[in-house]
Amino acid sequence: MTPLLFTLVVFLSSCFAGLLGSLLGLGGGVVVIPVLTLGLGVDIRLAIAASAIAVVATSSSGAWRPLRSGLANLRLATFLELGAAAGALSGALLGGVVASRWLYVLFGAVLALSGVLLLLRSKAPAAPAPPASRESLDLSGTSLDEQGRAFEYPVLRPWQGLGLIYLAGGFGGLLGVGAGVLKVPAMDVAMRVPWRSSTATSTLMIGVTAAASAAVFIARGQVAPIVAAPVAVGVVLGAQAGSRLAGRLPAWFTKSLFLVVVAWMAVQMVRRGLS
Amino acid sequence: MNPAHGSTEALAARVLRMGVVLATALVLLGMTLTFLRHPEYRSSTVVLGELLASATERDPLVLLGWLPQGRGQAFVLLGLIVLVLTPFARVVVSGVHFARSGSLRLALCAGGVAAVILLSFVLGRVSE
Repeated sequence: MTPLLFTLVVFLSSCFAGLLGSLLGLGGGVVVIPVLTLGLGVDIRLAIAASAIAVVATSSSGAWRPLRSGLANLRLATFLELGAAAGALSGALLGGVVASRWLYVLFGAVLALSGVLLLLRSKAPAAPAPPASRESLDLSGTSLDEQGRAFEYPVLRPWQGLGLIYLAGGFGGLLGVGAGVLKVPAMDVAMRVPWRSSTATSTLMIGVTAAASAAVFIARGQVAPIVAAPVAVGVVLGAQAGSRLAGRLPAWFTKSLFLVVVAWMAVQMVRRGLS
Repeated sequence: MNPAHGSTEALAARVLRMGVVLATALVLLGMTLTFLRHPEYRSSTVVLGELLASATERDPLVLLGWLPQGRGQAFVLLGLIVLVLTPFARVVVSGVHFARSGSLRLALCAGGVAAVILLSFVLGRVSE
């Protein structure tokens, strides 16, 4: 394969990764790593570094539009990022101390549980809005209903949500996987943040923790320009398209897609742990 | 959106957008220079293995030192560094704006996030 063809293949697959990532509030690693390693034979260390770049690109490119419109909740993201960053650091420090095999199985089980909870919440009748309460932190935000009309929502159980996000970040730091797939359900199920705002806010959050990892990879010389460059450009373009689509696609469609991705990742994690 | 919240969001969105645009421009410039300088990259099936080999020079300080020579890889790396710094810049800028608009708790959260990220980077760099 020539470098030009390699660049084109990586670019196109990264466009898809960015599109999927910004639609669902995930990083692009779930697409980028398999394509690079299994499809193109790239060394896993270069692929992981490129994946971190992809997550940063997904986040920054996919979040600025929903942030400007208010769909991404900056106040909630800032609050939760503290838990996510601390969790990721804790997880990375514990790496090598805790046996990763059972962590993969546990992560897969947690993913499966979060998918089930998400599904149950979708099927439950809409609960009446909770009474207005004094919030010590004003984390309320604005979302869009199925008709595209804006409505305000309160954020419930912020401290429990922070704890869940810390655990999600911990898994990410321990296993080197993206934690967006846990952050979205944590916001939607536990904190009752509307689906569209959960995915948009997750897209905003994931870039912060990925940036720290990516900076380390760059400093270590683990980033190959021939790999990372088309990944970065492809993901940026794909995430742009995803952020435009996110507000227009029905929530049931993106939620269904998310559940498919969660189910696939849960199976992969359990298989990796048991193999 | 609550009008009191809007200006911080707009500022943060602008930081993200500017960072992405600048980073993408630098990376595209670098890729263009690379393929112009190395026409064999369009036809040779051998050179890809060399580019992906572990022995290939990737030290960031060395690569950035190639900027005055106009080498494509240097511009690519510079663009990636700008991209990676963009979320961090967003956190800092929004934290300062939260502080100025009186949301001190959120300003503290942003400061905490920035500190944890810096600590993560230092520990990651030291542990190699």
